[in-house]
Amino acid sequence: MKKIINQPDDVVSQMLDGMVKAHPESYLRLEGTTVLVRKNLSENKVGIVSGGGSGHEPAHAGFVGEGMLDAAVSGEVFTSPTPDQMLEAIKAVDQGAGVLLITKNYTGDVMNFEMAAEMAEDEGISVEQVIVNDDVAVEDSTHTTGRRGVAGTIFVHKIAGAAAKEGKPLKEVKALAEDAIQNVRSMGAALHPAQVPGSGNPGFDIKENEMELGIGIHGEPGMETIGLVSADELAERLVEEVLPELELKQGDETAVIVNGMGATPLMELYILNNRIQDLLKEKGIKSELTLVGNYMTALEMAGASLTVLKLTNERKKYVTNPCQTIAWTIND
Amino acid sequence: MFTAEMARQWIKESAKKIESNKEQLTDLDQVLGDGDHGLNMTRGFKAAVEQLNEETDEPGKVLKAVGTSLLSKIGGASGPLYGTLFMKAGNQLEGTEVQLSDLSSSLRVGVDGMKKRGKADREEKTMIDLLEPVIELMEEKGNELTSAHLIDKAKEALEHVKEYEAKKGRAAYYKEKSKGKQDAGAQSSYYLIESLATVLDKDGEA
Repeated sequence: MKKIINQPDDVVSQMLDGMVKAHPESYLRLEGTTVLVRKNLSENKVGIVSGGGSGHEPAHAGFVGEGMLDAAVSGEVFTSPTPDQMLEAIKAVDQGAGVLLITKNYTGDVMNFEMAAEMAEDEGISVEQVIVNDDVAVEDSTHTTGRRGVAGTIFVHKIAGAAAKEGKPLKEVKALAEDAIQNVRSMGAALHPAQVPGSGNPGFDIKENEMELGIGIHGEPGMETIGLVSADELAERLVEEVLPELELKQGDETAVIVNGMGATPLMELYILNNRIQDLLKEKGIKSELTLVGNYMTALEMAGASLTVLKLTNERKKYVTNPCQTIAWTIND
Repeated sequence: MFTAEMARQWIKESAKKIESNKEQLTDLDQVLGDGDHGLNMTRGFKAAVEQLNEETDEPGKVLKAVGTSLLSKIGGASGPLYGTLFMKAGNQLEGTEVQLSDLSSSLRVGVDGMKKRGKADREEKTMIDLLEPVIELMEEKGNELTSAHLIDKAKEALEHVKEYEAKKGRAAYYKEKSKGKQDAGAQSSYYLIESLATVLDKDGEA
């Protein structure tokens, strides 16, 4: 597969430097690490740190900024970052009020963040961890790894970041993040696989006339391989799968992400959103805030996912108040 | 006896075996995971060899430093798991006079640490299914352990793990489709045991 890269080994480091050069007013890269930290950290607030494998841009470094994350840790492509790097991020953003770690539910991410949290506690920093598991495509079972964390993580960043900005203590920021996790659900579908730089093969095989329903953000299988369907039919299927657990009633408010997986044009995402919004409206569900675009990608995978967050007045306040990041800005 | 030099040889041999089987590990991981196990393990063991403690006479100190290198260089799920194995085992081994039975009990502490870290148990198609049966045999054989014991047990375990259904990590999303396919982590664990056997062999000849 053709890619605009230099050496596969250098992709993460060169991407991070490129981000800092594009936004020198926003970011600092901690020397010798893959950690991007927000410039001008606000004082006395709980630090918010996320991270994961690279290849999901703008997640997570694109959400570093006022009202969202204070630092993001980037691993190798589709590989969790290591605890020593996470520890550097925690130390850099701790202002004495403690640090919340937001992790997507992937085995490697969870273990590395747990070890980093233990190391930080040893250094006297209060650390709490929340694990996002919004992907309804995977059966939730105590016998397996459980559900994956996907694009719903963006809303968790937003709510935790907004609560921290307001000056809430660590325990409350954590509780609000957990509350967001309980009320956000997602599912995606893919048309074409991604290929990790330096790897000889695409992540999975799929025929021209098929799509993979319930895809994970590294190309892991989800529910089933189905024949290619129209945008409207896909919208119907995603809405049908994502909504039930949220137990939405007529008049309930939601926030929605129609997320691109990397290679799908905005045109197609808007076509998908067109039907999704009509379906919500038909059910009497209000979409108070809608994001359409590439928020949680999987390199050049073609496909899209739907994320729905059920709102209460509190969640609505935190998800809609101002934030300033390179990937998502809400003005005053 | 298990000396610091044997511990260093074990890691150097492991790094060689992993690097020469990089493609195979990656191909296995491509089927049930995300296709980076060979790359990540090669990077991790290369760092472990570069950062080997060449000064000490204490095998525990060698293994502990290996654990730290792996933890900071492998990433993914394998980093914390192999990191935990070597750090815990290294912490357990004290002094310069280490018997094979001491190595066995330190690896027992290491593998228990891995199980706790990964919330994994036997028959879930992971590294544990390769390492724990081998370590049980090591405990049973004590100082009578030979390289042939290690290789036979590791081969047998590798055959079993292939048949299990994956319950942990990204492979678990494949459910019953994972049966009959080899787990990349179990395969890399096999190379670690094979390398340890080579080191015991050399010691026997000497």
